[in-house]
Amino acid sequence: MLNRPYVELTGVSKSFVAGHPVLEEVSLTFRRGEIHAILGENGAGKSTLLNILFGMHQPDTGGILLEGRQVIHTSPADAIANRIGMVHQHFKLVPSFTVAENLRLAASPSARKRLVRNADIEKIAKDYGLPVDPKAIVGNLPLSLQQRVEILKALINRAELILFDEPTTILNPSEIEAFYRVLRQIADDGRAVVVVTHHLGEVLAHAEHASVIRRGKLISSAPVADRNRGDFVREMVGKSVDLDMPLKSDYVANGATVIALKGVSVAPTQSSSGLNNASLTLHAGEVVGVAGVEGNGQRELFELLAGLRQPESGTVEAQSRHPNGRAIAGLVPEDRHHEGLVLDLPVSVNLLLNRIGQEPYSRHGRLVHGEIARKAEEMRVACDVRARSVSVTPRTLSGGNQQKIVLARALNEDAPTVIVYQPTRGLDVAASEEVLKRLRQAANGGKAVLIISSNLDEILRVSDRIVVLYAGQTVGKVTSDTPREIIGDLMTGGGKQGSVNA
Amino acid sequence: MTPISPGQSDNAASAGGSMADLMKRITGSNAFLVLMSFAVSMIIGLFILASLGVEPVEALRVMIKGAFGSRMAIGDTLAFMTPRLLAALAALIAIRCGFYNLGAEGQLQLGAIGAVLPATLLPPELGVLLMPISIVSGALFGAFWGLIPVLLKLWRGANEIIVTLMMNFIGIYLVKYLVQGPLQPHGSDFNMSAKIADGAILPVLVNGTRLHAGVLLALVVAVALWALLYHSTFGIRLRVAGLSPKTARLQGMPLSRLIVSSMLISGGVAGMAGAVEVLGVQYRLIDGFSSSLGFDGLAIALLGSLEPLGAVIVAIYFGAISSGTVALQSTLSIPAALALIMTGLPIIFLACIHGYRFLKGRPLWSSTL
Repeated sequence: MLNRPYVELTGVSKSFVAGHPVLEEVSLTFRRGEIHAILGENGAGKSTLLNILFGMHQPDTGGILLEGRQVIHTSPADAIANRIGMVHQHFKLVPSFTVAENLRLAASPSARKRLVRNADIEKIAKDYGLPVDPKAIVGNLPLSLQQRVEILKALINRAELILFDEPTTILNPSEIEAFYRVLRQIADDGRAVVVVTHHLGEVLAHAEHASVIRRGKLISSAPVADRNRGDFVREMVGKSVDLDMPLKSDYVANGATVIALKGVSVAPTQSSSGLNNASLTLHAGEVVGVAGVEGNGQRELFELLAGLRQPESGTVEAQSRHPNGRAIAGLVPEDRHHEGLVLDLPVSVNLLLNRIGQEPYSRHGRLVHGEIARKAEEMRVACDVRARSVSVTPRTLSGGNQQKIVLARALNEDAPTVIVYQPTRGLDVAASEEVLKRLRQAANGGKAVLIISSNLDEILRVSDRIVVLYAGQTVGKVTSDTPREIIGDLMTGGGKQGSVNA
Repeated sequence: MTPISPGQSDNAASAGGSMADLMKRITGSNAFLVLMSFAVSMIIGLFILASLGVEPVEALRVMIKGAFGSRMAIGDTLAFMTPRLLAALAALIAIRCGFYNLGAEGQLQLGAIGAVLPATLLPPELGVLLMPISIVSGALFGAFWGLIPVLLKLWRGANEIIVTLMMNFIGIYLVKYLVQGPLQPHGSDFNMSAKIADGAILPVLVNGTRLHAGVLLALVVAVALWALLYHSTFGIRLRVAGLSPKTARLQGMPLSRLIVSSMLISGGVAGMAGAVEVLGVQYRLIDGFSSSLGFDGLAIALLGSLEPLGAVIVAIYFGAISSGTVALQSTLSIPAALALIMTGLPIIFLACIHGYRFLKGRPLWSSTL
């Protein structure tokens, strides 16, 4: 019974602009009891595929078979009636409503009858292995719990096929493990699960079946057991990328100290542990990775180094400072849409944002447009930002190209230090690789690079030294040779070694 | 050109240049949407006229003639435009910096007070010197009124939308008090100040119309603000602060200073709007002189996509509707309140369009360097 196809896509094609197909003749089979991963780079067409299954788009050709019977989904309501649920990348929840209200809102009339009392909801949630407090306001819940509410929405409507669009980008490593345990349970109960992602590690560890889509075409669809990481990367990217090649130099810590944090503390908040007597030094020519589960003081560390806040105790010593006292550093913030870029001003302005008031880009308070365009174009070519020209706005560019702009600006800063926070979040394999390579180049060129990230893989790949941040403390001194398990242990508070100067 | 280039495929799609793409870009542009809202408003306005039993084509002819048909008509249109354009420029310069100044009306009231004080109290022997003194004084009063909400926001976190809106009423009642008290000439029963000195009067540009030299001031300010926004270091910083304050902060831009400066300019320009209305049209401070010029200005700024040039064009439309409906009233006895409908409808349409675009995650306005 498990081997019979549950939902099939047959020769589905879709294009939004004539002549530019997003999907071409894609046929896929989803089975009960199986976690089916759909892999692909950004813009490969993965999300469109899910949207077609969920009735948000209609295919131009081809169709959907449900247990061998042709179905047409003209809206999500049709898909839900056919027992298909979807957990979107950006949640469809009412933040000011409670969990219970959100569930009742989404439930079909028959399902709503079971949700009258909060105690019923609590019990149903627990039975599914997804305990939540029905009285909690959704907007106050962490993202991992909001996602749980989204999954419950699908389950309550008796979904037999659940679609997940990039579900793990918002989760930290331990939450990802827990998330896949839930998926396993859902699949073992006889449902079909489809996960769109570009994180290979998860697929190799948890999925039974994986399909790769590149530029709208189905490249492969096969059981995961027969394949390895290299196969998938080649299929996704269209060429081989050596993900195991370390991006390291023959590092000797003899550069000058450019930044030294000594015993700094910042008071904890609701969502973060703050910093607690943390110490860190950074030398020219090295890449230092700060590993840790999000919420353990990363935000505070970044803001301290960016000069946005002062420590409540301890000192921040920096080699070079602005006249106004803040340390000079090239900055790549976590949220590139709101902190890194002005999405609606041209690429040229974004590239030169930190220098726009300086000669030769501005003279006597007047902008020198020619000089700005010339320098920006030079930077655009050097950093390989794929934009038609520097006068387009970053809003029209892909995430990878947007991040290249932020990074190019940070590296162009007259500073010995570059501080990057979650540098590859939301980027695909090829774009992430370019960002990491450029950071390594900057270090080889004499800059001190600090990477604050909850993605242990990238930290392990490029860092000369690794510092683990846990509960606002810098714990343990590890190198990239330290086994992952030990670092993972430190990240979750396992290795109580106390605060160590790193 | 490796196969992995999402940005490249974007370009291919938009540079493809097929007819459908071109149409899509035109219909998606701000200017097109604004034009459509005006066109649809005109059509609805004519339907309303038809329902009142007036021949719509005839009404349209009378309106256009009343707005642009003669030297005098054009003069009136521009005279109606002048204070509204200044108020619009005031609103847009603050909003472009991310500070929602809804207080142009109040700043304009203070500007009128600021203009009347030197124009009535200083010795008339100063002659034509009184005119620039009065305008500058009006601008300073307006700027002072604009500074209060910005300081309250920076020091105490007070919401500027509420503070600027409420301060409009303080300004209006301040004028009411002054013209019934300190500024009311002895023995007068009218709620107005004394007449301003002849030297302070903005000269009439076209005889027989109310068109005064203030229109030149308004156009100069429009060009100046355009140059400021697009060709100065201050302007680009102001736009960065407005579009993405967090980015501005991270790049070390002086956010508070930018907001204070933009509000001083905003309040000053709104003050000028009040000053030219007193010095060019009313010649006195009169209770209720403004008839919500400041709010018209806000509407014009938004309809003009927060661009100085857009504000000029939309302000001309507002001026034309005002003078055109006056002609309608005098020749066809149609209530001048029609002007409210004709200026209100495009705002409603545009609000709907912008609301829709906002929900779709598009920017409220787009601009280029």
